[in-house]
This record gives sequence, structure tokens and C-alpha cells, in this order.
Amino acid sequence: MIELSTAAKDVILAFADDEHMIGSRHANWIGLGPFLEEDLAFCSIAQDELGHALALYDLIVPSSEIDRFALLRDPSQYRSCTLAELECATWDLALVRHWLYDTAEELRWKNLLQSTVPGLADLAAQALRDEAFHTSHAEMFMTRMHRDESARLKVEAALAVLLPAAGSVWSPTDTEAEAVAEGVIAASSETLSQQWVDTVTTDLERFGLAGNTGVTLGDRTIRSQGFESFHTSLGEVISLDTAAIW
Amino acid sequence: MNSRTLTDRATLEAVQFAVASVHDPEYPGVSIAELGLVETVRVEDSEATIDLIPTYGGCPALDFIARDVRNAVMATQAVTACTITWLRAPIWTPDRVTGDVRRFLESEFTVTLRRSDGSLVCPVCGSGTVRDTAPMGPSRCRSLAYCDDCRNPVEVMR
Repeated sequence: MIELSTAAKDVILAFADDEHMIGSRHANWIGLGPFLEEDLAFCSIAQDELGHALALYDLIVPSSEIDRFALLRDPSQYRSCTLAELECATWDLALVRHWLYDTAEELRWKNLLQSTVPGLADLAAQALRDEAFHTSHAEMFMTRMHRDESARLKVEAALAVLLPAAGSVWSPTDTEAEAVAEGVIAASSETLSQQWVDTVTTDLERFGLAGNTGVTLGDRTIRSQGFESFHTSLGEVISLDTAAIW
Repeated sequence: MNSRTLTDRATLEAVQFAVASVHDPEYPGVSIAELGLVETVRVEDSEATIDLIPTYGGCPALDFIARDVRNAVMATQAVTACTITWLRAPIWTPDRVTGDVRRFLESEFTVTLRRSDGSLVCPVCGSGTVRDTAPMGPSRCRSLAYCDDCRNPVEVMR
């Protein structure tokens, strides 16, 4: 494993935890998607996000420790954002969250394309290939929702629930200024968040959907409601035998 | 050419052959070499070093492929050790799939690959009226398309 600065590790951990949480939340839809193809698509997206999480953890945790690190840390040690952690118990919430999160995720990977962290720029280029499919998948649904009144109302209700929490994805790490100075990331979260608001606002207009965009930052050291039970369920299998090799 | 060089070459060829013999878990009958997953195979001091390229980073088959490659290489008894690395660059693209295997994928799996100009040809009827229907398909490395001529769904390796 390479030696990294605290600022670099903080950025990677926050992104890895976000990817881990969103991937695990998406995976809850396996077997429950609204129709077969969508079930499979959502589970493929979940798999991609978990793959990204694994690759990011791999930069900051010894390979043999990743499972335990990802699943068995104390909740206070996670650095994921509320948008990634939230339980989306209905399909409209899950879909809208997928669109909001992946729009942000694409910007975050692009922000790593010139990273000074060895291997991270290559990883970003590889992940962006996945993201192109995720964003087009999300957009395919979002562009069609306004055509049906009941679907439009459901999506707008989901937007009303999720938009206030969505800006949490841009909550910076404590050491972000150093990470920018060291070239770990190109631009600050604040800069990216403005690009994201512009994109989301323009897209909503294009989709013919109503929603107020804006960014309310969260605190990555505080876990959102519902995290504890989700964390417990994620760790159920590994807790059966923490020494086992899976 | 001295005997040392010949032995080295024979060893390298044995290892290369072993690596090329490993099949992809997703496509039985198709080797990882034909899919373009093998970037470099080197042998130095009886130790093999193999660099592979994943079709995508989160592929759950990576550990299985690496295990199969290691087993195949060690079974040659030509080397004493085998190190396998999954590279992050270059990035795998469908261009890395060799020509012959494209036809095999079409006939055996009705999976097709985009042509260099981005167009699609139906693997069932050969028609060019195939349209993309969904970016995410039945498995992580395939998208969905539909042939309006023969009315068959088509999977596209991506």
C-alpha cells in the first residue's frame, strides 16, 4: 500500500463510504425491482458502486482488511453522506436518489482525473466508463416521467423529500483545503456543488419536473437516521465468523 | 542462439499457452485472451508475472479468473511462482475482443459487439435495424437492444 497524506485518505474514505452505502442500498432492490429488466439493471448499478468502493478502500486499507473495515467499523467512523445512507423504501425515491447521486458521482470522478494519488486517476477513468451508463440509465427514466401524470406526481414528491438531503453529497472532509493544495482533487466540493446545482436545475427543467435545488451541507462525522440498523444488517453475515475468508 | 535462450522461450511459450487456455466464467468456450483481458505475460528467473485487464473494475469474477490463471500456469510446472495483477490502465473496451470470437459470441450467446462506427448488426438475422433499448442489460457487461426485423432482443457486450 502506498503512503498517503491524511487529506488524501480523508477524501478517498468519504468517497469509498458513499459508494459502499449507495451500492448496498441499491442492492436492496434485487428481486424487488418494478420489472425484470429494471431489477437486473439496478443490481448491475449496485455492483458497479460496490466495485468502486472496493477499489477506493484498496488505496487506504490493506486488502485482507477491507471486508472488516467496510462492514465492522463503529458507526462513528464512517464518513458517508446522508444522500447515500438514506433508506429509499419506494421505487420513486430509489430512482430519484439514483439520478441525484450519479449526477454528483460523475463530477466527483472527473475531479480525480488529474489526481496526484498514484492509481487514482486511472481508477477515475475506469469508473467514468461505468458512470456514463448509470447517468444515461437514470436520465432515460427521468425524461419519461413527466409524460404520465401519476408518475410525474410521484417523482416530484420524491424530489421534495430528497432534494433537501441531496446537497449532503458535497459535504467536504475536514482536510479538504489540503487535499486541493496537494492535487488530490482538482476543485473543491463547493465548486463542484455549484456545477451540480446548475446541471440538476437545467435537467429538471428539461424533464418538465418541479423541484427546488440548492445545497445544504451535512456533517460526514454524523450518521443519518436509520444508519445503525442498516449497518447491523450489512454486518450480519461477516459477524457470523469474522476470521473466515469469503 | 544458446540453449538458455531456447529454454527461456519454451518456458514463456508454455506460460503464454496456459494463460490463453483459461476460459471466461461468463462465456464458456471463450478464452480470456480472446476477450482481450491479457495485457502482458513475462517470465523472469522461473517466476511468471501476468498483468490482466478487467472488463470493469467491480467484476465479481476477477478472483475466479485470477485463480484459474494461477492454476493453469502452475500446472505447466515451467515456473516456480506466478504473480497476477489486475491493471487499472489501459481500460478494457470491446475493441480488444478478437475477430473470430465475435462470431462465436454471436452464434453461441446472441451477444453482439458494436462495430467501429457505433452501429449494431443483429446476431440472429443479420439485419442492421437494431436499436438500443436499455443501457443496463442482464449482466453488468451487457446492454440491451432490439431487432425490429426479426423481433428478437439483442444483448450488446459493452
